[in-house]
Amino acid sequence: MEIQRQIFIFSEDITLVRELIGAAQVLAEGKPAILSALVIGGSTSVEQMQNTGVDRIYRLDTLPPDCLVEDIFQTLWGLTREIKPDYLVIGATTAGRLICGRLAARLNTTALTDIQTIEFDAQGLLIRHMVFGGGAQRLERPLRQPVVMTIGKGQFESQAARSEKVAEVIPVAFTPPETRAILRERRELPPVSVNLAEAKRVVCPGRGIARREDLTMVEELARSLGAEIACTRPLSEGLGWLPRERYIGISGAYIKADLYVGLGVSGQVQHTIGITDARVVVAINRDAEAPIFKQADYGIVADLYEVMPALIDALRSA
Amino acid sequence: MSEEKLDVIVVGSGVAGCSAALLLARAGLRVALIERGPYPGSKNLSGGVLYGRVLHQIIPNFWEQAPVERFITNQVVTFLTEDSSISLDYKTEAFSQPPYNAFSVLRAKFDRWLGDQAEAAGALLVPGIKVDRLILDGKKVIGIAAGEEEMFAEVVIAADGANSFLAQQAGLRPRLPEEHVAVGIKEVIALPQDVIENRFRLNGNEGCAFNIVGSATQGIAGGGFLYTNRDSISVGLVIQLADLIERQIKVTEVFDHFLQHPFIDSLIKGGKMMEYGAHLVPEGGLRMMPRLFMDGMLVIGDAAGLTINNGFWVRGMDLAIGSAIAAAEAVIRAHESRDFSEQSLAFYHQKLSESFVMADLQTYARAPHFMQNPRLFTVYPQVLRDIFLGIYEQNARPNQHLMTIGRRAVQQNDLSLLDLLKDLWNGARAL
Amino acid sequence: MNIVVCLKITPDPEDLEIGPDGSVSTTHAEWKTGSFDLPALEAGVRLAEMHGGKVIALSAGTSQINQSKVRKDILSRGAEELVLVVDDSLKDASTAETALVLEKAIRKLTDVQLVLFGEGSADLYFQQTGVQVGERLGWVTLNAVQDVRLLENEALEVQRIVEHELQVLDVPLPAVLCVTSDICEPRLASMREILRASKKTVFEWSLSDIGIEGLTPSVEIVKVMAPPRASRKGEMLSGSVEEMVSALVNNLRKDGVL
Ligand SMILES: Cc1cc2nc3c(=O)[nH]c(=O)nc-3n(C[C@H](O)[C@H](O)[C@H](O)COP(=O)(O)OP(=O)(O)OC[C@H]3O[C@@H](n4cnc5c(N)ncnc54)[C@H](O)[C@@H]3O)c2cc1C
Ligand SMILES: Cc1cc2nc3c(=O)[nH]c(=O)nc-3n(C[C@H](O)[C@H](O)[C@H](O)COP(=O)(O)OP(=O)(O)OC[C@H]3O[C@@H](n4cnc5c(N)ncnc54)[C@H](O)[C@@H]3O)c2cc1C
Ligand SMILES: Nc1ncnc2c1ncn2[C@@H]1O[C@H](COP(=O)(O)O)[C@@H](O)[C@H]1O
Repeated sequence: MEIQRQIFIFSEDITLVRELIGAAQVLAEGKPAILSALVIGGSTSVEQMQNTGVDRIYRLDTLPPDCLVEDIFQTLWGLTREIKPDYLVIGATTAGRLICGRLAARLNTTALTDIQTIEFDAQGLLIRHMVFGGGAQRLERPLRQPVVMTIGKGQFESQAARSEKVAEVIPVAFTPPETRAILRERRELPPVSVNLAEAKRVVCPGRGIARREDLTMVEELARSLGAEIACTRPLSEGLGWLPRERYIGISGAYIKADLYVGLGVSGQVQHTIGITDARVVVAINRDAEAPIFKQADYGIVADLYEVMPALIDALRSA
Repeated sequence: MSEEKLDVIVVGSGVAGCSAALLLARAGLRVALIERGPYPGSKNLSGGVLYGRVLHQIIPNFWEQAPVERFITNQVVTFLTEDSSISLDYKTEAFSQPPYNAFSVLRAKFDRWLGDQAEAAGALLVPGIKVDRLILDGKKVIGIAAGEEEMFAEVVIAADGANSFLAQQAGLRPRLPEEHVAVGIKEVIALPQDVIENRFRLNGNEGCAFNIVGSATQGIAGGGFLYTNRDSISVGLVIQLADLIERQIKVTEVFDHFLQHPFIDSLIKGGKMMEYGAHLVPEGGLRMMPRLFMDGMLVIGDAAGLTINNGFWVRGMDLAIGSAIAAAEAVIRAHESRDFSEQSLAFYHQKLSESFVMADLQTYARAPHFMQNPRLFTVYPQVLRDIFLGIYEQNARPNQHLMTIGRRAVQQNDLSLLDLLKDLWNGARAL
Repeated sequence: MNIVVCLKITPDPEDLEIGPDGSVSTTHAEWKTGSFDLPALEAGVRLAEMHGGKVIALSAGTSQINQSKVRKDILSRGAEELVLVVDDSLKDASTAETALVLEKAIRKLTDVQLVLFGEGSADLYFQQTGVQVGERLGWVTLNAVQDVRLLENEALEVQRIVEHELQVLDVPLPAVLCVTSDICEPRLASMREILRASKKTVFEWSLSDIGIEGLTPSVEIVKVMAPPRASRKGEMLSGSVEEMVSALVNNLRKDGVL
C-alpha cells in the first residue's frame, strides 16, 4: 500500500484555513492523504471546518489571555513531531510568517512563502511565487523534506462543506513557550473602514500629492466618482497620511474594481501588481515617461493639480 | 571637524574631477571628491568619443581595463538634406592599433571606472552630496558648504561642469550667455552587437563616428553625431540655444525630426531607447574662457569652458583630463611650498598654456564664430545634394559637366559666389 | 552591547529588465542595499546613539556585494563596522541557507545582544530570513516590529502591529527583531559621515571563516519569468486639460464604469 501523505495545516484565521485546505487538496494530487489542522477556537470554528475534507482537527479551545498567536509555536511543534507531516501549510499572516520561519529553521528545511500556484511534474512538487516585489515570478522546487509553506488569502479556493468525511476532533492542551516576550498591552486598532478588494471604483493618490492637506481635493474627487480612496505605499507607510489598509500593491491590497484612477503614481510594479484585475485603469501623471502609462487604458500627461478640479467639475456638470 | 582637514576638495566627479583627484591622491595629498549623483557618471550624459592619448599618459594602456566600448576606426562626415545624404568616410588602419586614436565610451560606466581609480589611489569619494556654495575668507576660498555642513581644505578645484555654479559664485565667470551656449541632446539606443557590426561593417571592437550636418537641425546652427558603442548607439544633436529660442522651436522637435530622417532611421532602426538626456555645452572656445584660478581655487574641465564645438562634434573629455593634469601639477607644487595663493596657482595657467589644451583651443578659436553662419546648415547641404543629384541622376537627358552642375546648384540655391568664397576661407581657417 | 543589523544587498528591483520572451534579467542592474532594510539600520543606529553600543552591519552574498559604493553607503549611515560574508554559492541562496550563514556569522561576533532585520529583502521579500535566524540562535524573535526602545533593565520595549491589533511587549535580551519599514526614516548620509566611512573597518569573511564547509541548496529555481500583465488600451489623451478631462469622462462612460 502506498504511504499516505501527511499534510498539516495551521492558521489563526478560520476563513484562511478553509483556503489552506483547498491548497492541501492540490498538494494531495488526488491521492489519499491525511489532512490535519490545528484550530484555535470553540465548536463554531470546528463546525466551519467539518465536511471540508479534513481528517483530523486538533482543537485548542483558547489561548491564555496574555499570549500571542505566535506562542502557539510550542504546541504546533509538539504536533509536528507527532504527525511528521510531509507538508506544513501555514496561513501567511504576520503570526503565520513567524511560525513558518521558526518551523523551517528548527526542521532545517525549506520555507516557501506566499505561494500562488502548486503543481507537480515528473520530479515532484513545483510552486510559483513572486519575487522582486512582483516584478517577476519564480517557479521553485523544494529540495528538502518536509516542506513548510505559507499561503495568503485569495490564492486557493476555499473548501466549502461538501465532503462526506467527518473529521475526528482531538482536543489539545496549550504548551507554553520556553522564553518569550511579555505582553504588556494590547489594543484593538480602530476597525478597518475600507475593504478595497470590494470597492467598485478607486481613486489612488501617489507621491505626486505634495501636501497632506491636498488629500481633501482627492476626497472630493472620490466623492464625485463614488470611489474609495486608496494610495501607494509611501503615502501610508512613509508619510502616514492614510492608514495602511489603503495602500495597493504586493504588500498591500489587491483590487478588482471597475475603475482605478492613479493620481501622481509612478507605476512601480510593486504597486501595479495590485491593479492587475482592475477593469479600467486611468493614469494622471505629469511625467510622460512614467511607467504607469504603459499599464493604463487612459493616460493624461498633466499636472494633477489642474486635472483634479477639472475632473471634479466635469463629473458634476454631467 | 579638524580631524577631517583636507588638502584638496574636488567638486564634481566627471572626467575632469576624477582625473584631478586621482593624480593628487597618487601624490599623497588628502583629497575629497564630491559628487552630487549617487556615483561618478550617474548624472553625466552618456556616450561620447574620447580621444585617448592624454588619458594614456596618466593611466598607461587604460583601454585594457577601462570600460571603453569600441575604438574608433571610421570617421564619417555626412551632409543631409530632407531626402538625401552624402557621406565622406575616412578609415585608417592606424586607428586600430594601440594606443588607438579615439574610443567610444558610455559615461555612466566610464566615469565610474575613473572614479574607482581615484578611490583606489586614495581619494575619498563623497557621493550623493550637492555642493551649494564656496566658503570664503576675504577673497580666499577656504572650503565648501552643502546644506548645513561645511568642509575645509587648502584648495578647492571646481570641476562641476558646464554650468559651474562655483566659478560663478567665485566671480570668475558670468552666467553662460545664451549666445554662447549650445544644447546637447542625446539618446542611447540598444541594438545587438552583431547587428551593429553588420550594419556599420565593423570588425570586432572597431567603431565608427558620424558627424552630421544639414537638415539634421532643420537649418538651426548645429550638427548631429552618431557613435557606435559595443551594443548600443549614441546619437544626438548639438544646437545653438539662441537660434532655437529665436525661432521658437523646441529642441525635442528638432531631435525627433532628426531621428526620423531616413538616413538616421536606417542606422538606428530596431533599437530600443535606453537613455535620454539633454545638457548645456559651452560653445565659446577661447573667447569664453573664464579666469581659471584665484586664492584657494582652480577651475578645470567644462567648468573652465574647455570645450571645442566645431559644429560637427563636441570635444571636451580629453581637454578636461588635460586641464586636470595641469591643475594637479600646480596644486602639488603649491602643497609643497604651502602657498595656495593666486600667484602660486597661476602655475596652472602656465601649464595649461604649454599643453595641447590651449593649442587646440587656439586652432579652433574661430570655430564658434564660423558656426554661427546659417548657410552652413541650410544652403550648403542642399548645394551638395544638387551636385550629386546632377552627377548620378540619369534622367534621359545628356549628362552635364561637373562645373555646370555645380554652378547651377549654387544659383538654384541663391548662393552668391562671394558668400561661397568667404565661407570657404573662414571654414578653412576655423576648422 | 553590540547591535547587528542584517542588510541584503541586491540588484535594484527598479532596474529589472523584461525581455520580449518574458525573461527577466538583472545583469544591468545596480546593486544596492534593500530599501526596506535601511530603516532597520537607522533603528539600530538610533538605539546605539541613545544607549551606547556599536552597530555592526552584516550582509551575505556573492562577491558582487563587496562594492565600494555599497560599503560606503552602509557605513556612512551610522554602522561602525561592516561584515560581509562572501561566497559565490550564495547566488540565489534561499532563506534557509542565508539564515544558516547569518546565524554562524552572528555567533562569531562578540557581545551581540540584539539583531535587527528589515521588513523583507528587496529581491525576495519573503520576510523569512530574520525569523529563521532568531530560531537558529534560540533567541526571542518577533516580526512586524514598529517601534523599539531600550529599557533600564537590559530589556526592550517593543511595539508591533499584528493584523488589527497593536501590541506592546517587553522583550528580554538577547533578541531578534524584524522591523517594519516605517519604524523610522533612514537618514541621508552627511559629508562628514561619508568621509568617516572610508576609515571604518570592513571584514570580508568566507564561509569557512564562519565554520561552514559548503551549502546545500534547499530550493531549486526552475524558472524566473515576468508576471502576466493585463492588456490595456494605452490611449494617451491629448489637448488642453479640459479637453483631456472631457474625453476621459466620455470614454469612461462608454466603458460603463461611471
Ligand atoms: C519589496 C517591495 C515591496 C513594495 N510594496 C509596495 C506596495 O505594496 N505598494 C506600493 O504602492 N508600493 C510598494 N513598494 C514601493 C514601490 O516600489 C514604489 O516606491 C511606490 O509604489 C512608489 O509610489 P508613488 O508612485 O506614489 O511615488 P513615486 O514613485 O515617487 O512617483 C510619484 C509620481 O508622481 C508624479 N508627479 C509628481 N508631481 C505631480 C503632479 N503635480 N502632477 C502629476 N504627477 C505628479 C511623478 O512624475 C511621479 O511619477 C514596494 C517596494 C519594494 C521594494
Ligand atoms: C551632447 C554632448 C556630446 C558630447 N560629446 C562629446 C564627445 O563625443 N567627446 C568629448 O570629448 N566630449 C564630448 N562632450 C563634452 C564632454 O561631455 C565634456 O567636455 C566633459 O563631460 C567635461 O567633463 P567635466 O568633468 O569637466 O564635467 P562633467 O562631465 O559635466 O562633470 C561634472 C560633474 O560635476 C557634478 N556636479 C555639478 N555640480 C555639482 C555640485 N554643485 N556639487 C557636486 N557635484 C556637482 C556633476 O554631477 C558631474 O558629475 C559632449 C557634450 C555633450 C553635451
Ligand atoms: N543575504 C542577506 N544578508 C544579510 N541580511 C539578509 C540577507 N537576506 C535577507 N536578509 C535580512 O533578512 C530580511 C528578510 O529577508 P527575506 O526573508 O529575504 O525577505 C531582510 O530584510 C534583511 O534584513
